[in-house]
Amino acid sequence: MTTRKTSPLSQSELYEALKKRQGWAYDYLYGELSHSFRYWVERNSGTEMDAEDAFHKGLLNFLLNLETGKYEFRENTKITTVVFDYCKKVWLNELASSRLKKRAIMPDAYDPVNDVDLQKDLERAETIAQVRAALDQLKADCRRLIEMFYCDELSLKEIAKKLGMKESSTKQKRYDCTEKLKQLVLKQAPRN
Amino acid sequence: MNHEQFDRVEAYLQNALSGPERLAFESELKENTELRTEVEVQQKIRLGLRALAIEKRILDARKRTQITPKTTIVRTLGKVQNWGLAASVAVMLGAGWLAWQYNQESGSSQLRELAEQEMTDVRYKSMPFDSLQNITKNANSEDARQKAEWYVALAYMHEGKKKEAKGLLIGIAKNPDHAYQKRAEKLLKEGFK
Repeated sequence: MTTRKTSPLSQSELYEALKKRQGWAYDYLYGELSHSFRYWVERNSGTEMDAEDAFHKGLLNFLLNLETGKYEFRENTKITTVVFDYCKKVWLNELASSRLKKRAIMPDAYDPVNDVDLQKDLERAETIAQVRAALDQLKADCRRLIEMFYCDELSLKEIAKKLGMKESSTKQKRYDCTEKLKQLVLKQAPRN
Repeated sequence: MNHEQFDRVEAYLQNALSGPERLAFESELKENTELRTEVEVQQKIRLGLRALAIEKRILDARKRTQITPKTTIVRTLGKVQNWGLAASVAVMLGAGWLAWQYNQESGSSQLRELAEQEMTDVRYKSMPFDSLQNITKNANSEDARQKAEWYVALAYMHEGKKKEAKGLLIGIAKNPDHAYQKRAEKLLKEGFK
């Protein structure tokens, strides 16, 4: 009887799993990085809450870039290092902001304000907030359907089954609800 | 915007249009302001909803990976010291209970440590318990089913569920074809004397 050696996790496996939003891959990143990142923030003028906030923002930026193709995976890159860097930049940007400018001297020569990629990533927060606010204003049945379709990525057939509706009615309802959401998002958007 | 136009914009954003359809759509985009606004707002909604889905998963991961604080024997002893001599009988009973508690705690921490040593595959280690159990029943390959079964036993050990862990390990150790038979035997000797 041979005891087999368990294979170590390859970076491309982790990348693919994150792309598919597999729970274990999210858990892995969280487990591997949250403590070390908190330690780093606490050593760089931040609190535990600052660390958690920056960690979530950095992780979200990375995962959004991964899903939208903005982040391109390279075989020799360690994903945890990349994610740590995303989170680190978020915190350095916070430190450079007017709110915290007086709290500490910047620990790095890096200038987050002139990091175009970072600023673009952070600008998305505005869009996310608008969509969240619009979604909250939708009626419960519409919100549920939109979440099932766009967030949980269920097919119309699966949604129809869950809601006890015909597939054709579900398609029409999805259209109507998305239209309502669109109007609410447009209302939220700042006018130029 | 009618249903058909809506579907067309969606297909464009999902990269589902054919080459010529895409070119035609893009040239229309240059001329048609209303269509441009429609694409922008649908893009915005998709991005926002995608972010909300990711946020939800991040929070789930946080919940799953959060370590619950362990009650330590030191803290319990601290309370005992304050009771004073007047409650000597209670202290004696308490001491008995503490000794039992200590044995339970040290046994659990030994099991946790042994399980940690064996959990060398981070994918399986990080997997939610339900997913592991699902693999033990539904995976196509015997290898995957056996590995998941092994990790279910380790997860039980890790959580201090001695009885459940032992039951599974005995099953694995009794099966000469199980990939983890030897390791299960070893764990039974080391952790369940």
